[in-house]
Amino acid sequence: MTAFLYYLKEEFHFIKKQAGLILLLFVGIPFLTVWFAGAYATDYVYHIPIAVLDEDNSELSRSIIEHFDKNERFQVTHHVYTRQELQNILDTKEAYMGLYIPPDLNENVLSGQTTQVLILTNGANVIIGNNAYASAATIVQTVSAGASIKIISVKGSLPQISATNMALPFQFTDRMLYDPQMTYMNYLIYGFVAVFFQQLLLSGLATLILRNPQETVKEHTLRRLGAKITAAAGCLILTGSLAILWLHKGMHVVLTGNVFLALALSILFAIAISCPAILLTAITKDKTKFSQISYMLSLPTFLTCGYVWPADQMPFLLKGLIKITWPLIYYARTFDEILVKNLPLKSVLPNAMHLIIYSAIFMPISIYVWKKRFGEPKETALSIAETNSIEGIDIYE
Amino acid sequence: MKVVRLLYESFLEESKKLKTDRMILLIALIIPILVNLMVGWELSKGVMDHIPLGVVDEDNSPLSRQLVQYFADNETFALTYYAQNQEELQELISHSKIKAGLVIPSHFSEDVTALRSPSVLMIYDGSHMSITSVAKAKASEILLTMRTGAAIKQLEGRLLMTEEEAYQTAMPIAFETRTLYNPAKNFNYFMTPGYGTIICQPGIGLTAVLCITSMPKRKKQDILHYMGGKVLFYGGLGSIAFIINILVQVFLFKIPCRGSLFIAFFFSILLAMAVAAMAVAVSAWMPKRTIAIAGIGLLLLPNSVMAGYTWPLLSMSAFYQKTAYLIPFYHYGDNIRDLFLKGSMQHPLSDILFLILFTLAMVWIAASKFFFFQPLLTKEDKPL
Repeated sequence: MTAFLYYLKEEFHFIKKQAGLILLLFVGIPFLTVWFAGAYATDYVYHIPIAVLDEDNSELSRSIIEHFDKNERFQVTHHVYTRQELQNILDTKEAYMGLYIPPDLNENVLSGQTTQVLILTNGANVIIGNNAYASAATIVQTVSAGASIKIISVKGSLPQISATNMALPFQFTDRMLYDPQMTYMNYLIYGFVAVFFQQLLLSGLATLILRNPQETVKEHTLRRLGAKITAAAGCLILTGSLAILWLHKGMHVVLTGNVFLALALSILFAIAISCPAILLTAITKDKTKFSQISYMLSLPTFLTCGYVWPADQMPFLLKGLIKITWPLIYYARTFDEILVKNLPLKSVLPNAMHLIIYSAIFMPISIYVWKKRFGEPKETALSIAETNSIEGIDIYE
Repeated sequence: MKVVRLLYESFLEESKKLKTDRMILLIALIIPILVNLMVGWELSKGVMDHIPLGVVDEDNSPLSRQLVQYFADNETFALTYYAQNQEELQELISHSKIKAGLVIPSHFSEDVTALRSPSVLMIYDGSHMSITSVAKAKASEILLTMRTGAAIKQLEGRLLMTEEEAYQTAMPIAFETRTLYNPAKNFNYFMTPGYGTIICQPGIGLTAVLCITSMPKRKKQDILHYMGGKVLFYGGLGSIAFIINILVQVFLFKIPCRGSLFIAFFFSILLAMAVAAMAVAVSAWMPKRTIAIAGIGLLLLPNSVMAGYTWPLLSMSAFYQKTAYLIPFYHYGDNIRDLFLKGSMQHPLSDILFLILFTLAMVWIAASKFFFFQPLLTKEDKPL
């Protein structure tokens, strides 16, 4: 324990002297969080611009448009006069949805003929398209039901209430848990924080691991590596926590969960992600090459961690392959759900166990490969430093 | 002729590195292609289905069972749990066992018959937008269909209307939805055309950013051609990655490309050159390798978000909108998606012009380091 604390102190002493590392470990997550959160600060999904072509121009058609305009999800931004204009506005993305009301709508409704109102959604962005569709369908149905009630009332000589209940035999409402507004910010930002944590930890660890590989191989390998992981992960978890606090307080991102559980999972993830970090430093033996590979992995690991496309929708074989090779799939989504949904310990445990099993298998393998690579007599610390210092470039910068 | 010779010399200098530095091919070609294959495979299903659904049926009548059956028969949902009450349903959602819940109140059927218009409740897990948006759209569709059917039956039974008359009375305004450009709402079609490129971009950047290590003695004007040769080399490598990626998408993953593949290739080459030029400029101005790598990483990796590919730019603040204009991918992403999904692009000329001017400006910025600050450096004299 004393040796571990000594090495930990040594790592912090090293970090203190490296401006690049200080930036990486202390400024990295807050800076990236603020930058990305800024992009999602405005809530577009709640003001989808729509274009309207009203060829009927009756009281009924105007009431349909008013329903859309008053709905918080939509904003009628364009009134157009031809179908071509409507198409152009959708093509140029000036509006995200189009509403076409045909001529004689009012007349047809009064004469008891069904008339079709056309809703054009932009399928290029599936997520926004689906949200827009669900709300638009509800609005048109509401207006339709209103007209239906009037007709039933007249035809059946029924009081308003009976006509209403006949037109709407049942109602349906919905309740959106955790994020009633369904914002991109709440949906993605914790996932991004998880990926920032992963990437910055990889970079930080590479610098710390490659600074004195021979010494680390020679004695107290586990304790030395443990100290490096603790130092880098500790700094990042601290600044990551501050970033999350800012997201909650400053940007009103949902935070209802158990922060300690999220921290515990983050620690397990830090240990797990150190395995590929150690392995990659062993393979590359070079901070530059390591950085190239780790940057190349940031997007694919995010895309395959179950955030953008849920893990249970992936092909079975691919999911297995991802789970064996990269631990982010056990962390990112669960981390988000702990914070947003207050996912209980019972539901977190399977992923936590997977992280432990991953570490238990890959840590010994990584350390073995690492010792083998850096224990080779030809490779001295000096020669590695020289490799990294071609053309006078300092690897620790 | 001299220009061509200078460009060729610089190009050759980089291509010789391929023999000694395997990382160039690994980073610029192999990893992007493998990752694209993986992402294409991941999204191959395209549309989410079998979203786990829980049901509380407090009525348990033929009508309520019919409603449940509608959901069970729809492939968007997988009826996974029958819960006893709403609390249990919410607990299932909070444990992530289900993503949506349907609550049918007691006396539902009785209330429908007695014209008391009971209310059915849908509960969604709002924490996962991509799943919930699919579930909500489909659930609304099912419930509206079911409700219209029930209204028609009421009208037939109580007001003795014919089926057609009842339909017209129950649905005086029908609505038809047309999902433009991507009628199947396929996630793969929406994501992959641009994301494939976003995955390849860092490969160009992370290799090109290491290319300026020294500056042989040259006349000032020749430095521009020296930089141009580097851009051609790494832009060329990137173009190969982009083109292979597009071919994989179209021929292996069957993503329909309604427009011309050659236009897609042309746009991809322009983007590859722009990204390579940006990386060469970073390389010239940031001689420390790890800093240069971090710099180009920061410039390229957030492109999918900052260029408005998934989250529309018009929803972002003016600052983000203005800075997005300077991102080369902004001038490519929507164009390539339009080319794939619509078959044509809106005003591509301004974007083509931007990409060309951006490339030239970056070559000049790269060279300007040596014009103004370190002219006439030689390998022998002093490394950068």
